[in-house]
Formats: sequence, C-alpha cells, structure tokens
Amino acid sequence: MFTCKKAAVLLSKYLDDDLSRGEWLKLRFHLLICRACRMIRRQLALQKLIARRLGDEDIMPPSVAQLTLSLESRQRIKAFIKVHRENSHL
Amino acid sequence: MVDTEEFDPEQWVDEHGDYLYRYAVVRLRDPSSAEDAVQEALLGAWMNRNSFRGDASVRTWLTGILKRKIADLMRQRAREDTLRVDEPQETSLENLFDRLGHHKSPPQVWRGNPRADLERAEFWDCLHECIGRLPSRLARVFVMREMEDRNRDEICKVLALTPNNYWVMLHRARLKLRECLEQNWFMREQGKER
Repeated sequence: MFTCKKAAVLLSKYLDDDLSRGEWLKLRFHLLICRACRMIRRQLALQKLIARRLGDEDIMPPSVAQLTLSLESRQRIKAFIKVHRENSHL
Repeated sequence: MVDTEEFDPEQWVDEHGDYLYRYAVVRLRDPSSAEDAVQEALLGAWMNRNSFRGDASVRTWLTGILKRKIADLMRQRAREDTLRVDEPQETSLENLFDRLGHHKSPPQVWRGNPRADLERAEFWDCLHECIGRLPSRLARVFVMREMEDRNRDEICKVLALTPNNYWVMLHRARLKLRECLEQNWFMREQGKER
C-alpha cells in the first residue's frame, strides 16, 4: 500500500522539481485517491511562496523591523574592527 | 576604480548596522548569533574592501558578505549539533504519521483568502515565530532552502547531510511549519484577532 507517509517526501521533491519519472507516477496516483495529500500539496506550495517572500529583503516582520543594535553592541563591533585594523597596519 | 581608502567601517556600523542585524535575525533568530554574524561580516568587508566594485550600493555589497557569514555560522552550529544526540526524531517522519501511514494531524481547509492575508503585517510575525519554533536543525535546512533558495547539493555540503536526511528534514520542517501556521493564523479562533 502506498501510504501518505510514503508519499510525504515525494511531495517535497515535487515542490522542488526533483522527482524521477517513477516517483512522479507514484505520487500522482496517490494524489488521485488522497484528498489530505492534495490539500497539503496546495498548502505547502503556498507556504513555499510565502517563505520566499520573507527571504526577499523587502519583507520584514514588524517585530523584527523595530529591532536595533544596542549602543553597547555598536561600540563592541566598532572596537572589534578597530583592533583588526590596527593590527593589519603593523 | 573605487577609492577604497575612504571606507570607514565605523560609519558602516551606524548606517547599515541595524539593517544587517535585522537581516540576520530573520535568518538566525538568536540575537547574539545575529550580532556575531554582523560583526564578522563588517570585518570581512573591511578586509576585502578591494572587492567592492561600486556597481552596487555599499549596503548590497555588505548584505552579500553577511549572507556568506550566516552560512558559515550555520555550518558551525550544525557541526556542534551533531555532537549532541538529543532529538533523533528530527531525521525521521515517524511520529507525524499513524500506524497505517496516515497523517496524524490531517490538514484543514484554510479559512478566508490565505493569499490576501499576506498583505497583513502581523502575518509575517506569525511566520517568523513559527520558523523560530522549529528545532534548530530543521530551521537551518528550511531557511537555506526556502528563504535563501540555495540548492540541495550546497545545503547538504554546508550542513553535512546525506541527500536522504536532507529530504526528510526539509519535509519535516515544511509539515511542522504548515501545522503551526494553520493553528496560529489560518485557523485561529475568530474573535482572537491578532
């Protein structure tokens, strides 16, 4: 029996366009008879688009958009680079 | 030729530090790792300042360097993680399916218009939070594949995974994220609007 569990990884391969012909046939047959996996395929495809948009720099979750480097962090980073700059002049 | 003598890393910290920090937080989540990545990126940028071509903005150039530093950090963390054997189920799909191979938590029809939801800023907080809830090993695979669009071979190499482990972990991450988004966004109780 070709179960949802066996179809699972094939779904991810399908979403990434990485299925062999044989795998594609198996998955296709399973999707014909399994509504849950059809829904998951649709939702994961949407999720993939969503994650990609988060990866594009124009989207920033509001909770992250308000983060700033603290003053101490800035000073620490500046000091860190300064040490390396001075050493490189030796 | 760009005059790199005028480069001032201290100014980079002030002008681009927050931007780079946020970029790193979205991918690494942990604030102190994100800070480390920014620090390493700015130092790396200064040491390789001759590689700046001037056909892109300084910010774009710095972001490219930060991206590589983030991958370095993930490689390092992945190596540290292999020394711990706490969550072995991450590399199997076992507990997501029942004895008969069916989904333990079957999907539900997402309410409303999921695509329209993407226009709401709070949605992206929910997504960020759900990615943060993934076990770190899974989150790394997910971020590299889905957010950074790196290819399979590259990810397997950086995170030291076999192709088989890669697929199982990627799929596990996708299913867990799907469930989290379903519960906390698409099927959240009405009236409990975020």
